[in-house]
Amino acid sequence: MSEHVAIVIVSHSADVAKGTADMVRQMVGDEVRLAWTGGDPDGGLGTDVARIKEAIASVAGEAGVAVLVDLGGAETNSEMAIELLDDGLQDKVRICNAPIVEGAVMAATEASGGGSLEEVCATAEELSG
Amino acid sequence: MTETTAKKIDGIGATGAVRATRRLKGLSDRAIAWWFVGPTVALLLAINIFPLVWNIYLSFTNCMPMRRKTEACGRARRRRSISSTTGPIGSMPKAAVSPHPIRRSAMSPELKTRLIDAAVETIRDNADLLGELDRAIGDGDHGLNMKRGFEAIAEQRDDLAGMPWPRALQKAGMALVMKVGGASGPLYGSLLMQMGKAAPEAFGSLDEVIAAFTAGIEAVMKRGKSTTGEKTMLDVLVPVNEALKAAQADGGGGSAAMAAARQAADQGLAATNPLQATKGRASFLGERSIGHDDPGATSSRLLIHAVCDVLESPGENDL
Repeated sequence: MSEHVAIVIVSHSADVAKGTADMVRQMVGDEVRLAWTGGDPDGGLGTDVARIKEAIASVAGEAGVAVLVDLGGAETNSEMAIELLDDGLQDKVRICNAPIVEGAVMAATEASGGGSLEEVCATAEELSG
Repeated sequence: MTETTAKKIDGIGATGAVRATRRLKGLSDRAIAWWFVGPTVALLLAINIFPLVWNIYLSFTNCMPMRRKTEACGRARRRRSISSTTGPIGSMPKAAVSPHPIRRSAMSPELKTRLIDAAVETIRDNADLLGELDRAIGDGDHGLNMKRGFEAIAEQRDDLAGMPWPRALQKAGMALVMKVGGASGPLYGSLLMQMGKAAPEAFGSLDEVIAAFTAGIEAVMKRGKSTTGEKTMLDVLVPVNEALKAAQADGGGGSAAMAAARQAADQGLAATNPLQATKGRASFLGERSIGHDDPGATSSRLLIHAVCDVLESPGENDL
């Protein structure tokens, strides 16, 4: 399982994150390790560094992790979470600059085909270009 | 030199010196020398050696004069108003023999407590204002987010106040990172955490404060991939830092620096109003972000004012 790049979805809304994850699952089944998180520490709209960190750590493997985020705060908090990971893990996590739903589905499809972390992110990022 | 000192100390048994003087009255240079050296040695013992030994002794006890729960130092720890003379001795042996007593105030737990209280209070009191400003050009959660973050700091108040600056700042920063829930968490968190990394155990001069603040601001720029003029908290923090540097260069002292910092914060915030946001969610509004105060710059201004007020208040009038 860990030969595939894993996907983490970080949204301000837990519903969006979960919905996106459902769509990804529909595309790639269980081939790709997938985690999602959404909502601030009190359960409102926002993102939570601690939970992002947990989500990344829960799916991290040799091939690395592609993180898909929605709005600015999710990106800033995800960057912060990555910096708080263990040193060995940090280099294997990338935030893909892509729309969250389309990006996650594209990235997961590329990951299930055995693409590297760079290829997975590049595929997702083509969407925003 | 040390050999002579040792000899002098050997000889100061007072009666021995007096007897020698009587016996050799008018004759011995050595006896006269003792009369000159004796008082110096006595003073040295009284105001230098004794406090040093006492401090070393206290460093082996649990004496924490500023902490309420410890009993070891007796009543001194409760008498906060005279902390500058009695308070910090036990917990900070080095500072107690510092030639600059006023500077010790900057490392006292009491000051940290007051800074935390002031910061938490201003965020609590203005959470609605910050929310309103953020509703106008963002997602409206800045007030609630900041409040959640600073409440987390308030919960750790006593722990933080007992720590040296580097740990206290980094721990407070981490609380913001973990609890705020918006981009302002990592931004304010990085500010404090990087300040902590750059901070000395105790701030001894305005230069050290400026150095730490500069490092913190650079971390905010990096984290937010931003700079001044983009309608962000940096439009307050950077001018405040420049004002502190200028005040330091002018040599105007603590109050002048605080006044300059406050003024720079006010002007910096006002300057965000006509700017068009290019960072954060306000940037989605394009030109419609013009004519609003930036929420992040507003919270920065509030915090700068709170910190300046504490540093200027009686008993802690210098850095």
